[in-house]
Amino acid sequence: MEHSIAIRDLTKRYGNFTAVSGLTLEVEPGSICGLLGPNGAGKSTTFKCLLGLARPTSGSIAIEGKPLTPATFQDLAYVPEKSALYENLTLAEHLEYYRRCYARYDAARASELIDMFKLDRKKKVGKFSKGQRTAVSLILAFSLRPRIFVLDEPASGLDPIFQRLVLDLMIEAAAGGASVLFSSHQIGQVERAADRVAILKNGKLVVDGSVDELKTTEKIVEAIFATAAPDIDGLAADPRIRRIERSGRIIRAYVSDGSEAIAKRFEEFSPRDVSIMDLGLEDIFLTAVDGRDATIPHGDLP
Amino acid sequence: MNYIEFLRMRRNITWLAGVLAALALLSMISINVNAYKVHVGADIGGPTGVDVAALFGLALGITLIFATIVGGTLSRENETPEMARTKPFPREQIAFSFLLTDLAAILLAFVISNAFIFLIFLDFCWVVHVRASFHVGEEAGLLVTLGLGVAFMWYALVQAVSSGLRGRGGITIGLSWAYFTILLGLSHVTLFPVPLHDLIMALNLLNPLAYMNSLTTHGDTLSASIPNSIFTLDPWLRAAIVWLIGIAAGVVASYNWKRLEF
Amino acid sequence: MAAIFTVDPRSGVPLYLQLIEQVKRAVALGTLAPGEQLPTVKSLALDLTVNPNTVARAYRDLERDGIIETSPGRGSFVRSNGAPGEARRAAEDVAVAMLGEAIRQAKALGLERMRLEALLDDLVGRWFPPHGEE
Repeated sequence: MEHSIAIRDLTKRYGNFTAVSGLTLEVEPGSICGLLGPNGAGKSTTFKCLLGLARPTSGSIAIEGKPLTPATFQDLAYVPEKSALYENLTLAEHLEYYRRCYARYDAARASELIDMFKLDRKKKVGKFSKGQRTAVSLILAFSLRPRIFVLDEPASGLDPIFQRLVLDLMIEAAAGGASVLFSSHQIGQVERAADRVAILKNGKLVVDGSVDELKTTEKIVEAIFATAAPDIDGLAADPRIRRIERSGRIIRAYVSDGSEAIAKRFEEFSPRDVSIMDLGLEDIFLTAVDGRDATIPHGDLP
Repeated sequence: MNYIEFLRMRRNITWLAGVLAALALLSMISINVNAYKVHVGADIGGPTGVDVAALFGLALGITLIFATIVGGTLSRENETPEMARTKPFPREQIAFSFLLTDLAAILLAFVISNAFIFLIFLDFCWVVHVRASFHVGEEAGLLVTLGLGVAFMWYALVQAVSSGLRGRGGITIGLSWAYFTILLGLSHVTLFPVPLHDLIMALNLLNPLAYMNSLTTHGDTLSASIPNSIFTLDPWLRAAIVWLIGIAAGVVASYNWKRLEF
Repeated sequence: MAAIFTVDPRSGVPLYLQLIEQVKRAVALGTLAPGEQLPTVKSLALDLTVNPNTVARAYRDLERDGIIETSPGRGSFVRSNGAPGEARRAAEDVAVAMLGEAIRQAKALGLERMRLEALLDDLVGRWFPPHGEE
C-alpha cells in the first residue's frame, strides 16, 4: 500500500540548531497519526518541511508516493499552529478564495461546518476570538474534502465541545479513507482519535507505534521486597527497560516490551510481590520524553 | 489564485478614489467660492486646444505615490505564509499573479487620478467662463510610458527588496522615498571628487527618480514637456530602461518570495 | 445503539480489547441477541469518538473468535448459532484472569492458603445464596 505521507530520514537545521534529526514517519490511508512532543521538539518544523514552507537539510518527503508539487495541495489540507488568516477579510471572503483555488471545494460542507461552529460569515476574521479563528481554519480545511490532513494543534483555543467536534471530524474523514497527521498537547485527544502515535523529543523520534500496541507492550513492573530492595544492576541494563525507580522496598521498572519476562527476572530476587501495571498514553509519553534517548522499535499496525 | 490581491487592490483603489473625490470636492468648492466673479470668457489652449498630456503630470505623481504604497504586498503575504504558499499553484506563478494584479491597479489609479483632475479642470473652466478644447500632443504617449514606467520600477524595486522579508514592506516603502530622493539630490552636488560622483551616478541607475526629474527644467503649464533626467539619454530609451528594470525587479521579487523559508 | 458500549481511552487497556470485552459481555448477557446487527465501524467510531481502525480491529477479532459475522455490504451481526456459547467461554476467561490476579495479590499480602480458601468460600456464598433463585 502506498503511504499517504512518507517522511524519510528528515533532518532540518537552522544554523547550528537542529530542529529535526533523522525523522522517519509514515502515515497510511485511513489512519490518524498523532504527533506528540514537548514544546520545541520539532513538531511544527516537521510540518513546515512537509508542506515545503521550509527546505529539509537532508532526507525526503513523499505525498502519496510523489515528491511535493503544487498539484499535491489539491489533496492536502493544512491547519497551521497559529491561525494564518487574513485579518481584514471576512469569513465569506476566505471561503470564496478557497472556492477559486480548489477543484473539490464543497460549499454545502462549508455551510454545514459554519453552522456547527456557529460563526458569522460576514464578520472580519480579525474580530474573531482565538478559538473561532481555529474554527475558521478547520472549516476551510474540511471543506476541501482532501485525502490528506496535516493539522498542527487543530483544537487549540477551542472549548471542550468543539474539541470533541474536531476529533469527530478527523474520525469521519479517516473512516472515509482520508489520512490525518495531527499534533496536540492534549494526550487524551491522541489517545481517542489516533490509531498511531509518534513522540518527538529534541527533534528525534522516541516512540512510534500503534496506540493499542504501545498499551499492550509498555508496562510498569513493580516489585515489593520484604527488606530494602536489592541491587538489580544486571537487570537494569536490559534495553527493554526505559527507566527504573527505587524507593525503599519498592522497585518500579518502566518497560517498553517483554513485561512478563522482566517480571520473571524480578522473581529471581525473591520479592514479596511482583505485579505488572498498565500504562495510559500520558504515562508512556512522560516516560518517553524524560527517559533515555532511544527509539523504540515500531509496533505493528493493527 | 490572485483573489486576495484583487480584494486588496480593490480596497486600495476604493481608498484612492475616496481621497481624490474628497480633494476634488474641496478644490471645486474653493474654485466656485473664490473665482465665481472672474469672467475670462476666452478660449483656452489656443487654436489646437489644451494638450491632455499637460494634465497627466499631476496624475502621474499621484500614481507614483499609489504605486510605492502598494509595493509591500508580497511581504504582507509572508505574515500568513501558510495561506498563499499551500495553494495548488506554483509559487512563482502566485507571485507573478500578485505583481500583475498590482500593475493593473497602478494603471487604474492613473486613469482615476486623471478623471478627477479633468473634472476639476473642467469645473474651473466652467466657473471662469472659459471654453476649453483638447488635443493629444505628440509627447503624450512618451510621457505616460515614461511616467508609468517610473512608478512601476519604483513599485517593483520595493517588492524585490521586501518580498523576502516577513512584513517589513511599510519600512521599505518609507526608506525608498528617503533613499531615492537623497540619491538624486547627491547627483547634483558638484563638490564631490570624481570617483564618488561616479559611484553616486552608478547608484542612480537603479533610482527611478533619476530617469524623470524636473529639477532642471519646467514645462509650460499648458503644454506637455518631458521631464529631464540626470542621464543624457533619449527619453524613449529612458522609458524602455525603467520598464525593463521594473520587469527585472519583478522577477527578482518573485524569486525572493519563492525562496523564503519559515 | 451508542449506549450499549462505553470505553475509557485513558485506561492502559488497549481500546480494541475494551471493545471486544464489551461486545462479548453484551452477547453473554443477552443485551445483544443472536442475529442482531452491530453498528457500522464508522458510526460506532463516531459514537464513541474513537479511531475507526480500532473499531475495525475489534470487529475483526470478534469475527475470528466466532462472536460476530460480517457480510460485505450488509454489516456485522451477532452470530446466530454459537455466539452466546463463545461469548460465555470468553467471559469465563476474563473472570478467571481477574480471580487469578485477586488471589495473587492476596497471597502477596501474606494470606495463608487455608485462610484464603475460607474467604473465597464465604464470598461465593454471598453472591450465590444456597436457597435463593439461580
